[in-house]
Amino acid sequence: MRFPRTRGSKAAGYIGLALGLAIGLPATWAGANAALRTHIRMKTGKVENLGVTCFYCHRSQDLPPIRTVDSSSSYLSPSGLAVSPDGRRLFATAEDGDLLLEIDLDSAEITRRIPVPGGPHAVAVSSDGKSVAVALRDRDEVVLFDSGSFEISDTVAVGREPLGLAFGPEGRKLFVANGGSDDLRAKAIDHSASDIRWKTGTEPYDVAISGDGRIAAVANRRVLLRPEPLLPASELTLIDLSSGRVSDRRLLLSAHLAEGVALSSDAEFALVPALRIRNYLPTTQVARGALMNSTLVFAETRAGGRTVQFPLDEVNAYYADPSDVVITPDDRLAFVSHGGANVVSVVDLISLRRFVETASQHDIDEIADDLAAFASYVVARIPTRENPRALAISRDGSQVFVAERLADSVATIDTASLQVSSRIHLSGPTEITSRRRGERIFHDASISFQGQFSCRSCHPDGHTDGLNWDFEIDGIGVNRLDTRSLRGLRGTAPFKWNGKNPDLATQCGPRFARVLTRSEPFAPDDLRDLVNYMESIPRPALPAFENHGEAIERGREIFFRTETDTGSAVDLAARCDNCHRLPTYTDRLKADVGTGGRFDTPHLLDIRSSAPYLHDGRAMTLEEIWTVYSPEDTHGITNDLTKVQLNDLVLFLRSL
Amino acid sequence: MWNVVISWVVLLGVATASIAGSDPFFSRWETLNQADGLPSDKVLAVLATADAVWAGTDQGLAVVRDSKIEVIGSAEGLPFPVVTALATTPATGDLWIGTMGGLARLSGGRLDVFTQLNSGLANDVIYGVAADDSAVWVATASGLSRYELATDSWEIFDVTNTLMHEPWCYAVTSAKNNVYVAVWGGGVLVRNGQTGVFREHRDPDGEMEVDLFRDDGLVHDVTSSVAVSGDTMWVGTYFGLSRYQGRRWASYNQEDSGLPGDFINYLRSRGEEVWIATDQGLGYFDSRIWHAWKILPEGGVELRTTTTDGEFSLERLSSGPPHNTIYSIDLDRQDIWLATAAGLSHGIAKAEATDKSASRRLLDKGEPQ
Repeated sequence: MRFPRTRGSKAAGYIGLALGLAIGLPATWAGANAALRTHIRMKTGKVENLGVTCFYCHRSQDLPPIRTVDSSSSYLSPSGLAVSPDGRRLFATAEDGDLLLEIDLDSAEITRRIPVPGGPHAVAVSSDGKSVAVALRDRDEVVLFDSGSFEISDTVAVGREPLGLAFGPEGRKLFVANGGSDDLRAKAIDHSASDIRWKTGTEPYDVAISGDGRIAAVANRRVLLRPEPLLPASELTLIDLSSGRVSDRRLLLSAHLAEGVALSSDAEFALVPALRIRNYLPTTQVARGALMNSTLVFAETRAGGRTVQFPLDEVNAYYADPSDVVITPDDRLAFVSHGGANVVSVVDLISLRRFVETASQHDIDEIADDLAAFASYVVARIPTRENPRALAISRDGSQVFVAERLADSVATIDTASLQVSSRIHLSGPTEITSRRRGERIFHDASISFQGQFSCRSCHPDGHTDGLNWDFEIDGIGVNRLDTRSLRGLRGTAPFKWNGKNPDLATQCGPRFARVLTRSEPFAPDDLRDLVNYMESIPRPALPAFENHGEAIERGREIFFRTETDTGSAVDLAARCDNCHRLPTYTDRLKADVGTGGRFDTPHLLDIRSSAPYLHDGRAMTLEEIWTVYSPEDTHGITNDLTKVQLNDLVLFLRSL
Repeated sequence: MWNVVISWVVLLGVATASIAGSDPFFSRWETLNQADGLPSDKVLAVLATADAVWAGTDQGLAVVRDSKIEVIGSAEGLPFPVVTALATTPATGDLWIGTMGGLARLSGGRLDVFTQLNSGLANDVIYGVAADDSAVWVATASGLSRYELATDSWEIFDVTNTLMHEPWCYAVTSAKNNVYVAVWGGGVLVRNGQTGVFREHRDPDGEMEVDLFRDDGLVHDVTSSVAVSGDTMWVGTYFGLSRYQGRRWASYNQEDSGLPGDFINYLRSRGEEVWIATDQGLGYFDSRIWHAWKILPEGGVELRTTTTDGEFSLERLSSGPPHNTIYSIDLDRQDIWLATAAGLSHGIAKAEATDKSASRRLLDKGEPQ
């Protein structure tokens, strides 16, 4: 028997089908999604599935490759300056352009452009003017040139990431501050003696040698790893070169990011520009101007000498990111570049010396935070172009040269008039790309309330300041968070330790302005440019662990192991590479590793240089992550490892 | 008949000593102890450097400088108060402090602490430390650790990856690019600096109670110290002293040599001579003659001089080490410093006018202690 088909019943069928689809599809989707989440939770222990697809587990061990961003630049970015002894030539390293530039100061023209691949950072000229040395940051080498022919006379291996450079007074020794290996090395130019290697503070950035060759002073950028409740402190390392001993390690309490150091003509005192920080205060204190300020450290070099921090800021005007310093030959004036404020401050040293000689310890403690004190010793503020960093002074003290890093220019300051007398353009590209604009924004403190700080103030060179900052309004020093490195962060979203920000635009968006910079949010174009720049921040070159290849390979096997030493299977959720997935060694999800909550899984690239570790920086070293903070195997399965195996694992991680 | 002759010889020697007692090396001995400012009388390690003398005690580290004693203890950041070993990096003078609770580096007044929890150190219980300009070697209760200064990297050598028979490393020294490890119960391991290969020296007879065959190799596997100078390696054990010169071994015991005691805590060699810290006094041997300084039960210090032929003489000295239990030795030119159970002992050389030790110059700034 057949029922007759009618037009009405056909319409009802369509309606039914539509209803079924309308109800069934979402229900099916919801059910499938729930099943997927359950599946993921069961298999990986994860609750979120942000960024996870089926291919995440079922196609490959690795996450999809990250689209690479070209970090190369056609800009020059002058980062080091040195004046020839006769005052006629200026040498500038172009770090992004991989060039050494020779500039004739009479004509203010570039006379040579010598290719120096490898991130030429610092440059120094021997006292006889015959040799020019260039530190190659990415190659862990120093190249020596004959200053006449500019033929390479020697290439010498130094420590990791050479950043500071100085010749001894007789030109026979070269002193290299290696930021990546935390040491100062003395090298005999003629190879007549073995290297001497002094352990410095953390990330030594600049070195100054006294005129008589008796003292070496080293400015260290990052704070020492010190257990709480000790205040953070960086170090001014003083070395007695006659005895070869470190004579003093002067603590710069609550101060860091020291990128320059200069010694007076008699080497009686050293000057170090630094950033004075109060990271235990909630960041709400930005509005009160209490979070960070620029300071000039005055340190008497004699044993037991005084160390005084002189603020360079004003009560309602900040000059962020002090970088380099030079002293006039008569020891009367010091010039300090402020990379975040596009200013060079001029400081009257006679006033500083008078204060140091007569002040009580109470006075010394007080002045460090007295932002009204500047009027007694800051005699001029000289505007510059973008991001003034390295400084050099002519031997007669008449001219100070300023590397305007993000303007590809060098300004000349007349030390008599205290004004920019001329500017040498280094022939960088005239077009400013989005990424370059973003780089300028990153280094510009005008983004913050009263210009107190820039992005770079916590992320020097896109890296980390090594501090824990208090971002919560829940008391002083409570719930602090470790500053994360921005090096190679592309493809590691989400951001923040709680993993709430899915991309950098959100991370640096309006909320960022509300809670941190206390100023207007970035304009959309600025935000786009800033993100472009941040995503292009490169990772440093991989370190060479000579003679440790086998140990690193053993560590790699431990990292990717699926069985314990006793043959038991390691649960997928507990495997290192489950959370720290290739290619960037993060699964971009949150995990509870027994540190009091669920936190974003950090990537491991360049982890060797981003101590301390864990979300609140509680682990001073990689070893402590497991030996101290994972006693119950809450952070992977490691309790079965021998100490030899743990060392191998750590070495593998340090090789990433 | 011979007994009578020998007895007369001995009596004559004693009588001579009591009248004319003369120390062969030292004009006098002085002691620093708790009353002088040391944190404890029990001094376990000593090191003389150009500008100070360092004494590791069971209550912290003391530094004697400019006639003053400064104490560095837990409050100053030392990882553990019991200091067992001291060494310096030659080029920089950085001081490495081995304790029963970790390793510390003292440089420019800053103490950096390395433990088995915060670093790759094999174990916190440290018995010996040696340093050269590229690395620091640490003898621990759980193997030998190497800290590479240039890369801040750690490496462990133990029973799993070397010939090491037992994990307890009691002493380590580096010389001529090689590293020598006294393994308690495992003889001596020598690491060739060129190849990285370990070679083992063991007691061939393997006997724990006696040395069956004289001069056949190490006198015993329970080694406590090793010292190297020139082509000679000296090994201190709890059962006597051994000397190795490339091919030939020689064994020395208290009963058949001038060794003051068989229980050897520490050795220090220089050229042909070796200084021996035992639980029964201080010993000296230069391949021809032995000297042994010992405190007598009835009081006073006795110097016993023995030739390799077995002839000996006894002398009574006006001063000497304060205790027979000696834990460590350092030589500073012709002076000697001893870590003893009763303080830090200083043997002041006779030839002092023209060749003063650095440490003595420090002390000369004040009154003798």
